[in-house]
Amino acid sequence: MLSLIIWQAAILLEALLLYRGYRAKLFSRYPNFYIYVLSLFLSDGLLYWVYLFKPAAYQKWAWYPGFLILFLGCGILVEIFRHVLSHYAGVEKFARVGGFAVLGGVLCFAILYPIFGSSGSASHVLYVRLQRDFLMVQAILLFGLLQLVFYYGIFMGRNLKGMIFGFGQCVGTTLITLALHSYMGVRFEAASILIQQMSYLAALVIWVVALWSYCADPAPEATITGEGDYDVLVSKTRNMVGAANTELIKVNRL
Amino acid sequence: MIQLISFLSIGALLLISLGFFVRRGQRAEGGSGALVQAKQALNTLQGGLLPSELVGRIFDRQDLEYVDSETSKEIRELFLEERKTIALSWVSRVRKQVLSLRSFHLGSARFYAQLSLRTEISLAVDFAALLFECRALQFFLYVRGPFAVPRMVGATAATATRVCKISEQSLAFLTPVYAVRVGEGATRPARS
Repeated sequence: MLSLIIWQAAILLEALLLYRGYRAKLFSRYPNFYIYVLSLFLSDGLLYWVYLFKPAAYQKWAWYPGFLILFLGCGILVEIFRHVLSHYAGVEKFARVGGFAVLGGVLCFAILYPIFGSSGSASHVLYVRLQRDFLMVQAILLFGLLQLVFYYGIFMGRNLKGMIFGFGQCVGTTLITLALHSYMGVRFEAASILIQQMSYLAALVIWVVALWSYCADPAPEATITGEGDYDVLVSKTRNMVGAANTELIKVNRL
Repeated sequence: MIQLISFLSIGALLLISLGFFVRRGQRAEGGSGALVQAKQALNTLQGGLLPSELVGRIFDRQDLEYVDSETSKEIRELFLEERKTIALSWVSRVRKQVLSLRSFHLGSARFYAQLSLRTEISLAVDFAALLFECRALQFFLYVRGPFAVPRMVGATAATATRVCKISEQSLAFLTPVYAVRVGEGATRPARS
């Protein structure tokens, strides 16, 4: 019963999110994000009717939108990376290289593990494993992005902040519950589903609040102009750090 | 089990990072404000924290000898306690200014498309090591007191002075741009 209420609330919130996106003209600004939300809304809405009127068919069809949404979830990451790092060419390069490395590593793992692993190939098993691997990639990428954001002091507007927080908490919570579920088995299943649903509902509430209207990201002020200055900056900083290090090591040995 | 631990760790790390992310305040970074801060840090280090007279005064052993010879044990302890507080505050401020210089580097480097991954990682490690060493110095001062490590203090001041000189060169290289930016006013849209 609680699951059904959460399900209905989620459909309503998705509809509200889409409505606000349309009213605030956010579709064109965050297209990947809204494609993701639209796919969630359509699949949730359709599956809800299937569940009510043809419960047997629901069991058969429930996995398919899941695969699609799993892939579209990466669109949110693309959106976040694109907007957050658009002003920072250097950090964007950092994130791109790191992102491809992580994605490649986890995809290799996802392909090789079933070949050498011992478990079966039923679709729901594949789905759960794929979901976990994708969430793992998304969690690592988001974590890496957050570290870059902290390290380079990048600030952003309410829209992106909410997008990252909502998506991130959902990814983190789902990853933890899936891992615990795979370890603890059936006794954790009901709790796992409820936690995931609540986390998804929380993400929708965060998104509705954060994306109620457009909020531009604060434009950074560049301190230096010119194209060939990075090497000079690095060499100056490196000299400074190197000299200080050498002296401090001496100091600590006194 | 390894899989479980790795999934749990990554999930937990992400949630913790998000907690910090949400609690983080909004402040301008990397703009002319950062440059002004870096300049101020440099001025504070050179003018307020590192002059040899000041450092010599804080850590002068003659003061301790005088207190030892003229006053009671209680006064001596009180004197040592207060001197330790001043010494720790001095190191802490030096460290803070070094942090400000690092923030200036990061605020500038992030805009460069030719930013080198390897260089930035190695610089990050260097900065971390430097700050760790500052912490170690704080620890020694805390444990052994300000008069137990006079050479250490002198060498630290010399280090910080050297850091300042190199930073000054770095900031001098940027000063003309800073002057132009300030002249342009704050309302002008920034370069993207």
